[in-house]
Amino acid sequence: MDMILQCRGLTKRYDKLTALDNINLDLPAGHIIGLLGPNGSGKTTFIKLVNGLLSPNSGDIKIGGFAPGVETKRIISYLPEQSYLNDWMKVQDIVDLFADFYDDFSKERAYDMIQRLQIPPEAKLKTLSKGTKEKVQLILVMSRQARLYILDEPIGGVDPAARDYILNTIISNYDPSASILISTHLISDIENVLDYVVFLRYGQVCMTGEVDEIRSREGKSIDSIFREVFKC
Amino acid sequence: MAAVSRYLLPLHGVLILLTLVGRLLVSVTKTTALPRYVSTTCLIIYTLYIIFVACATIIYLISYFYKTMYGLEGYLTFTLPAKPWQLLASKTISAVLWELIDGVLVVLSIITLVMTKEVWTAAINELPDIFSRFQETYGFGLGTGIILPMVFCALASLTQGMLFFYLCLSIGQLSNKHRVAIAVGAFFGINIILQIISTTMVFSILPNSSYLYGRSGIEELASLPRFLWTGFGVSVLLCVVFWLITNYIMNRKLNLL
Repeated sequence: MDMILQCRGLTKRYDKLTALDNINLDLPAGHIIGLLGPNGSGKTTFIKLVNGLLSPNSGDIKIGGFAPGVETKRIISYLPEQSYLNDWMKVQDIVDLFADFYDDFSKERAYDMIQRLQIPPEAKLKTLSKGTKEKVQLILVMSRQARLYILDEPIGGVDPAARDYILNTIISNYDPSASILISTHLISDIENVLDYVVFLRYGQVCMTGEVDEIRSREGKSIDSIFREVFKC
Repeated sequence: MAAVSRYLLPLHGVLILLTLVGRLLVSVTKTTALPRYVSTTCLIIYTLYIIFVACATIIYLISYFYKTMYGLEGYLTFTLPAKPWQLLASKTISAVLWELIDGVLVVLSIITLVMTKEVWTAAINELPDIFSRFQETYGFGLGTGIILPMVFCALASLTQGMLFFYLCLSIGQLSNKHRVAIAVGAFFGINIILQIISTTMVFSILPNSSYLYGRSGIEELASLPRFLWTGFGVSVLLCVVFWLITNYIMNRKLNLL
């Protein structure tokens, strides 16, 4: 099986706190992968390491065979938890910015989604609601033809209707040969779209595998397993 | 560049406007006697605004760098398919360019207000003579010996100053807490170290040089190009050091929280 992401002995500490502790992972290409775990389990830290936004204390990561760098940034489309866009920019300016920087960005696809959501392209981001801003960011990320989409809590801060839209957008806009890594603690909302899961607890991988295999082995849904594993 | 210009253009637009108003007032005072407090108030406002523009430009450029590199916008900046040195170069070029624009506008503004037609005419008539007498007295041209190295020095020290701020902010982001305070600490710490090094160097060179043995003004001016080019060399060296460390931090020690 082709691997899109591999890491060995990955450790990240923040002063005395160990956020990720000796992680070894092989994530298959062409899958929708759920990175699951409660708040503080190390999901965002892992994602930032993959994107090269943090440096590990030890261990290494390979994405499509490359260590985080320009080559991996070309193949990863990343949606962070917070909004990283400049508020004074217009929607159309941001679309142009992405088109300038990413060879795999499709303006046509972006405007198609913007139109369907009735977002005015000439509107400045600061005039849009929080939910609409998140949608704009998701549109930008999903308008790329990336090999790996990394979505950090894409449905965390939006209402259920918007959640449906976001999940539909993700499913209907990605190339099946590409992979999607979705980090979330809202398992029930995304369980149906996942092929593969990684459970993180206290910075360690506590379970990983194909969703169907885990479900048939445990005789429970991923959501139920999650509730059991992370029971307070 | 467009993002920076968004704030700095209006700021400098007001400077141009104030200069034009000032020039108008200067013209008016030639024919009409204005109350003294009017000209004094205008002069104070103008001087304060020039200081404000210079400070605001630097503060804005530094905060813009921090916001777009180590703030939330850094998530976009550092996931663009560009190498860290390219990001650093683009920020440095636009910042130095804006500092140059600021400096040139301030100088032009003061010249516009101070220079009268008579002074201009005298300066234009006298300049060729000044240049040729300078060449005769010192054995080198005013342009190539003084003005040119001064321009290079100004450019290098502007770049060095900006890269120094970038380095301090990059050191600050290494920490998980109090990042700005650590950047400020790095600023003062490195400055003190550089001062100690430069003072030690000056004192080790001075006793061996002829500088202490009562040189004339002519001799001092004659050695000015050498000092300017040395200053330029030191600035370039510091630029390289600051650049290399900042680039290393961005490459290997990025810590976006």
